[in-house]
Amino acid sequence: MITRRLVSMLFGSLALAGAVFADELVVIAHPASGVVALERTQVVHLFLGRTRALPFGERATIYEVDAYRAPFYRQLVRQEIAEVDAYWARLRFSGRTQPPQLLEDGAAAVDRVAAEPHALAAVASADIDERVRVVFRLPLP
Amino acid sequence: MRGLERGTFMRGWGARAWVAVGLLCWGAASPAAQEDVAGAGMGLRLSGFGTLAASYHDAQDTQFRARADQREGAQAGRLETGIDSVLGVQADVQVDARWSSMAQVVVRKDGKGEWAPRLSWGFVKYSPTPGLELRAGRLGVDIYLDGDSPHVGYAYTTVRPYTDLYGQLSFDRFDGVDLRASAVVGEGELSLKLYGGRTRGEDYRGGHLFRREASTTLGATLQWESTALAMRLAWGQVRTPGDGLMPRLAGALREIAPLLPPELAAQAGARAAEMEGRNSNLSYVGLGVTWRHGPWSAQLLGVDASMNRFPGFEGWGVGSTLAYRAGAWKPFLAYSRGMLTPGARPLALPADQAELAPIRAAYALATGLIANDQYAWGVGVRYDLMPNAALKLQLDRIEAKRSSMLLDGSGTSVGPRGVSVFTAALDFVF
Repeated sequence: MITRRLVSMLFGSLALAGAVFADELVVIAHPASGVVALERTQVVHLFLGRTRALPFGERATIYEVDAYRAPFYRQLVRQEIAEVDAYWARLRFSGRTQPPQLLEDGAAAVDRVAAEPHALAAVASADIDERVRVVFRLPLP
Repeated sequence: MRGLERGTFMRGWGARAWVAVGLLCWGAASPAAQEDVAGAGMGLRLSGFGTLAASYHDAQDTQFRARADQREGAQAGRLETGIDSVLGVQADVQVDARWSSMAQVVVRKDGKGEWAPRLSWGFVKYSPTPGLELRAGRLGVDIYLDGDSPHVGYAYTTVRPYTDLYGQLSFDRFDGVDLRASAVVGEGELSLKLYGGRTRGEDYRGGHLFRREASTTLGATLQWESTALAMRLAWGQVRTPGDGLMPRLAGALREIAPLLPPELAAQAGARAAEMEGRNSNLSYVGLGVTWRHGPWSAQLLGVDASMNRFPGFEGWGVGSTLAYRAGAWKPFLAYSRGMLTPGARPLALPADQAELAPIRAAYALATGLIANDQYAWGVGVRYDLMPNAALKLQLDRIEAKRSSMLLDGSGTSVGPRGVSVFTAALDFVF
């Protein structure tokens, strides 16, 4: 984890600069999760750690892809990623809750969600396949 | 007054460290932690935070400090790195969906003026449902709007929490339990937290380091937080049994009472009784609001505090910050004011009796330990130079009529003075 964070610190800016996005990001869930669609407010609560429960009460596991974080939160809550990171520092280092797990790319996130019935992940629409279900769409400008 | 012996501290630290190691071993040895470190959030996570900071001012015979538990402050004409620099390492173990543990060790300059590690957090958490959490172990009180801890500089817009408010509240840890219930209400999360336990922390006043090992911390926090708005109402109390915080001074007053004229003898007896008497309650109520709209963010909070036993005080404080995010830059303006007024405790010992001089001096020091009337303007900028690291430059102008946060060259509270403090800080998390 520490190694991944350090790499993220050093090369995060390069990764963001070099990332190529589709025209929208999507939140995906396992088809067997029972989740068909999420409201924007629900996505905000889940990805900012205000709730860990899916609509039917199961505990959710949230995944993020490093290169998608900045545009995802900029569109979702109108905040720069530095503000989101400061928010998570507050929660993480007071033992409240842990931030979503970072994965290296969209394919890894799709694999995780396909394998875990109560997982959610934010990925580019180009990353998804038939193993997962789109439950929220976030168009990019 | 009780000083802190190094041996006592080291033994205490050793015990706390073993508790932390025990918590982690318990979690790390669990089947879930061993089988699935990467998946579903289970297993061991190591992380940390830190601040490298240097402060400078040129006000002679003045030491600037950020917290009352700091023995030394920044002195005139010298770069001081011990005011805000800190390193924290944290280990989280998620055993299963309901059980987890966390231990956090923070290294910073302590009340003896030495760099030392401390167990800042160390608890086991049980969460039977997603909206209910019970924690037991080393915990913190809910008084910091931005961080639940004064040490995670990266979580703050400014270099440090408001010195005038939070600097005085150094008994912010406790060994006990807290219970937090939360639910999504509208656009935000509504939560109620109740907590209590044995007080931990220390503060350095008048050349002495005070601890409240026998005290009890109680508190409750009601909070609602959305992306645009957060409101927090906090109440807390530190109760200390009536075993006397100043037994030597009280004893000295009782000894000299028979030698004084009747009226003065009664006065000295009354003051001694106030030092030795009933339980002490230090209470505070705080209300804070944080507002965010686009690039703008603002924060306003107020605290009312009081203590009912000698020397006693009534106090209040306000703090506010206005900031604007422009890409990686975030300039800010901050204002804070803190007022602690000791209760009236007259004791007119004759000035012409040399043998009473030490008692007069000790009494004046005791009644002035907490007195504080100061405000501060701060202007600065935060620059997020890379993911998980931010550089901050901040200039504070502090004006004090009297201050228990500023110290003079000998380490005691000061009277009227002003000081401009420049601080550069690099905050990071990993």
